[in-house]
Amino acid sequence: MTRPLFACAIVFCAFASFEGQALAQTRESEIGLSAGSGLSLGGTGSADVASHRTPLFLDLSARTSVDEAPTLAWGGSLRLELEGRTSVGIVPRFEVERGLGPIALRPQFGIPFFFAPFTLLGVEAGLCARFPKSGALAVHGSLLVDAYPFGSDVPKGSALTMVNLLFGVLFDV
Amino acid sequence: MSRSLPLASPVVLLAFAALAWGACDGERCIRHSDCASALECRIGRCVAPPAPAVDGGASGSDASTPPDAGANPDAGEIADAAADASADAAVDAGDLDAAPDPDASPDLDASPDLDASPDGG
Repeated sequence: MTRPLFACAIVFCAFASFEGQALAQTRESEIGLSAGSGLSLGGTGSADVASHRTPLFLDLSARTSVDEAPTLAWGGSLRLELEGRTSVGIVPRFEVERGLGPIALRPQFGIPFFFAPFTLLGVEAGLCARFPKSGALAVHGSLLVDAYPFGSDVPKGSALTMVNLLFGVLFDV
Repeated sequence: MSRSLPLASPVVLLAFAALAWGACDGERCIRHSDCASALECRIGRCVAPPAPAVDGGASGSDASTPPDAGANPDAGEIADAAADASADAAVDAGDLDAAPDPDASPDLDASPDLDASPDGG
């Protein structure tokens, strides 16, 4: 009988401490508008790979972190392919930030998922370099590597790989 | 170190752009969306998607039934058509089978035609 009560007390204390931390935390957020393109690779048969330029895409991003762990951030993007087709996807993302002088380097990992008008599901790894400008404004350049093994837009028996560069502006909010 | 990164960025960018543009193989598709809306990408080429097996088989059999019936008149088919519950279907079957039968082999199909017409009427 005492064991469930003890467990409930632990859970209550955990929630109470978490809420106390949340109240004490200062959240830092950032939004961004970027455009990118690059190289897309896809298998076309037995050991045969074709390459295309990645359709130009827009990336509307948001990220947030707390001051207690400013090097860790999570967020995501709304991604729109605009060249040759129009598609919409989201990219939930986790980032780590490391300062390098005035520049912030952000290794990142995401799960891109395009859902209209076709589907693409894969993984994304990247490195973002953030260059601060005046006030809350910054610019960034990112190198992204995407792999899409799943989705209705991937030909059967193939996979899609992208190596893209992304440039844009970031605003602290 | 912090100075070298901004200076190196344009070089990396140009190299990447040259790689991307030079390596493009515009003739072959790598995604279905590279093709026109009615086509799909298969083995690097945009081709028409194969028709579903059920629909293709049904339409093919419907289209080929009258010539087959005319070339190889079969009393069993006529009897099956006459045994259908729907009177309209029986009339249609009788029309389809009655037309080619006299041209192909009137001697063989005289009795089935007689059997089919009363049922259809």
